[in-house]
Amino acid sequence: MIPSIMICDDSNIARKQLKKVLPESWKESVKLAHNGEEALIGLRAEHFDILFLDLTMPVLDGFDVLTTMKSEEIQVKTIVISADIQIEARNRVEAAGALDFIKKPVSSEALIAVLTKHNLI
Amino acid sequence: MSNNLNFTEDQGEYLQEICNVGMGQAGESLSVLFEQYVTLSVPSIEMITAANATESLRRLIPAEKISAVRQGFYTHVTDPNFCGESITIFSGTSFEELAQLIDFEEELTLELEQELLLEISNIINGACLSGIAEQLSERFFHTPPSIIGQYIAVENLLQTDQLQWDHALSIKIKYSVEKQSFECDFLLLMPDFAVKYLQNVLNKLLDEL
Repeated sequence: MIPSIMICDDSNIARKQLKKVLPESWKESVKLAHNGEEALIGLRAEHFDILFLDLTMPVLDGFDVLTTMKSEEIQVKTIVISADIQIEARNRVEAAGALDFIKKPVSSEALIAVLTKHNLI
Repeated sequence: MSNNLNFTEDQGEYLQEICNVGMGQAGESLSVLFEQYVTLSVPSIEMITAANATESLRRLIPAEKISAVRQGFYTHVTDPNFCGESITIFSGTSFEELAQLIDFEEELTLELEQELLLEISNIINGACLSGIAEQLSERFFHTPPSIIGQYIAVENLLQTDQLQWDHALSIKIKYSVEKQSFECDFLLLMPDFAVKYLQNVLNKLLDEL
């Protein structure tokens, strides 16, 4: 079954970079959010299987999205994709419920490794 | 601004992503140095003109007094396709606080204060620019860092009557530490011809998307 995907990143380029390395069959089921607020609106409206979430964004950042998802009990497997590669950032997102972390720029190898690790492909 | 220096939306967004990666690498290096989480924000990118450089700097760096370190970067000594200047600007942080952040316990002298500035700016400069260079498939060489001044006004950052560019690309990256009053802005300035080269590199990267 093809999972429903949301990509939340303020950068059009980052969204394209990620979409390019997604498994081919997933590309049709991708919805895009341009910031954390848009992501939360989408996540409240319908269920997604996987959320790819950036951290440093205007309006509402990725940390706040994770915190809100936790408090509102929104269930979605979340993989953070960020240039913020500090250990503390990884610890914070994992504590807030993210499944894993991939550093930017995302490579096909890194993405497949994480998806495989969590039995998502 | 002359038309050929305008970035398209895609070029601008790609550049933003490249800067994000550089910013993240420098943030990680700083967090290792400080043993604390360093807060990052979205880089601010714009073209500035030599004629309005002072006003632009005042807007970008609203602090009254700053301490700053300058360092040049370039891709090739005799024929640089790409070059520019980085300025690390410290504001809202005392030297005592800076020393505390890196567990530096000696009594501060003017010389040690300058060493602190040079050390921290060198870490930011190296990590950020290596991240940017890697994305552009370039290698940057660096000139030695030099102190612009301590507790100076923002107007003194650039000698505007001696600028060798009419327009420059300005990229401002802000770093702060939540638990201390550390605030630092990393400003990259790239002259007209470097901007044109950068646009060509960005076009190639966009074609590969």
